[in-house]
Amino acid sequence: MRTERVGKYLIAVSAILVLLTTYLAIFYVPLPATSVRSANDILSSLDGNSITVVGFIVDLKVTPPPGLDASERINFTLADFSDYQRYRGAISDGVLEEGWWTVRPLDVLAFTGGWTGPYLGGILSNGTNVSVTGVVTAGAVGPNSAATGFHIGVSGSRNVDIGTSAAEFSIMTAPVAQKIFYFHMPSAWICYLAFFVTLLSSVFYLKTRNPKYDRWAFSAAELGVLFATLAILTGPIWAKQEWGVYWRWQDTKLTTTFVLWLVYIGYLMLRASMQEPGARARVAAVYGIVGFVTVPMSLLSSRIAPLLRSGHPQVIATSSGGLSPESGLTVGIAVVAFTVLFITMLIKRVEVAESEEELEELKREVGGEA
Amino acid sequence: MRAALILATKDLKIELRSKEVVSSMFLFSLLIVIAFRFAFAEAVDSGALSLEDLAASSLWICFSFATIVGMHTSFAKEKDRETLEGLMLCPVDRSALFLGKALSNLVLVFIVDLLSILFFGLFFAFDYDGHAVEVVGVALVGTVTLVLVGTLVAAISVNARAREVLLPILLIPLIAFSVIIPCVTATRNAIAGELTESVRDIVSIAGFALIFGAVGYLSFDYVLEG
Amino acid sequence: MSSSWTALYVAYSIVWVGVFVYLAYLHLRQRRVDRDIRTLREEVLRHGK
Repeated sequence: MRTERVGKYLIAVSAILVLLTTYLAIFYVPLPATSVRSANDILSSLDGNSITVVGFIVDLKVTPPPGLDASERINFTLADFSDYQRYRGAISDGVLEEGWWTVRPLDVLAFTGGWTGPYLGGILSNGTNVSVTGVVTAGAVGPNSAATGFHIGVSGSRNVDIGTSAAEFSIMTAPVAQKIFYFHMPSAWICYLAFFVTLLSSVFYLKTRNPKYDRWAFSAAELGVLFATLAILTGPIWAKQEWGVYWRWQDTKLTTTFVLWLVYIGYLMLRASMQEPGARARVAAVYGIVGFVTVPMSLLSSRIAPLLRSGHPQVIATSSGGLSPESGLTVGIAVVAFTVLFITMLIKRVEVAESEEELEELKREVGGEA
Repeated sequence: MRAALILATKDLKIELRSKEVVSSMFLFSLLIVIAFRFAFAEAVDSGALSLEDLAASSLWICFSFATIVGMHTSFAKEKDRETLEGLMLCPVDRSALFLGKALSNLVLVFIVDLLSILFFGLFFAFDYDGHAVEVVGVALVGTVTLVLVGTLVAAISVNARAREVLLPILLIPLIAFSVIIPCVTATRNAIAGELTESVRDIVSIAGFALIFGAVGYLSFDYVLEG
Repeated sequence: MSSSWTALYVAYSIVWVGVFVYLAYLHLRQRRVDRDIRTLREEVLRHGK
């Protein structure tokens, strides 16, 4: 009875944490500066033409906003959201500083001018040269008050390198679907954690032959499959908004995670097709250990395995900068929330398994003596 | 190690008498080559798909599927003839049993590899651009990994009810990134005479061979118990 | 713009529904097993060993 109360308490806590994550993700975190769509939105609002801009990086020349010394003229680049922090640092000082600058969608009031280049209406190929000219009217940036805003004269061109990081593809802001990240990434993280629990429990099972560890192993595997499924489902929904397609086989992260999912589906199928508990536990434990090789493969795929060119956004940026403070906080809470949720579910799942084994045991006893 | 060799020779002797595993594996892989030829007839004839690419990909599909067929029989036969118990009663380490099985499977699969490479060349009038030796070398390295993980998974699935279906379900995800992708890349590079480009791939295949071999060696005891 | 919001809500719903449906399923399973255990015990008590 006591464990049941603990279980209920944990479920309440994890529900509140996931609710908090949802709230923070939707209402608190600003969108990072990367978007294909919003650039598209701005363009189409100007001339009514729908133009698909897949994304590009452009060197921008800033004409100083009114009230800023001409000597402070600088070149800057519309960069990906990993530079968000530097941007924030820059505006807090109230002057434009040398360096990488990001114009967020929230800041952009209007864009007059246009993009020229072969990218219009099509998909950019590698090495396409695009140029941007025009004026971005931005609010909340610069030495003037947030209300008045200032103009950034925009001109520049750059070769487009498709296939680096998805985040670099674009300018302005990410579509709101970017916030799927706050559920997608923790789900993926929990699936790795769950499979790690399966690995450890499998090893312990083989060492000790205590059926307790077998219960932990397959409960964790089942939950891992659940969270991997959630990650695999939410990822493409985001990808459709950001990349325009649901799935890219070129992205090693996607494919390795998919393979990982298949491995553990196989693990569950193997268990389902074996009856004798002892043999099932042994054999499944060995497969749980072998199958784990796919976890580091998936975990590190976007970092170290350029077997295929991956375009998966990296969560932990290798360069300095990384997530904005708000984003970092939300990601942190999301990870904590999902971890608590996972622990809760794991305890519940193990309890169910224990009760079921108890029932089996009881049935055998009754059946044996009847 | 000696025990492993003896066990492998035992398996090979049986195979030498019946020749049923190699012949079924070989026929199977031949059918895959032919199926590929039909499926991609238009693409190959129009030149949209080069023979180099077709060779690299279809050969590795052949090798993988042939391995699945061979692995399956390797344990299922023992199980069905109830000789598995006999094997387990042998006063040798289970690890030796794993190495022996892997070794005999390696020989059989490699024979099929060679035959497939030969017949692919004959059917498509393709001389691997003069790099057949390198292709065979890549096949050998890849097959070692394939056989190590295949032997382990075959032993795992042999006790399950739906073992015929389960073996590929358990095996293919494991070999997708560890064997198939790097091997196809390496084979393509080998045909192009740029095997040096694929050092990374070969190292990673060998690395996986080590991982799978170690896991199999250490855990075979548990797989074949009771 | 709206499609992006739709995508966001669809994705969030999948996670919420997925997690809590699974929890509910576990809960129901636990209840059924508990009930079975209880009835089995009662039967054993009633009919003796």
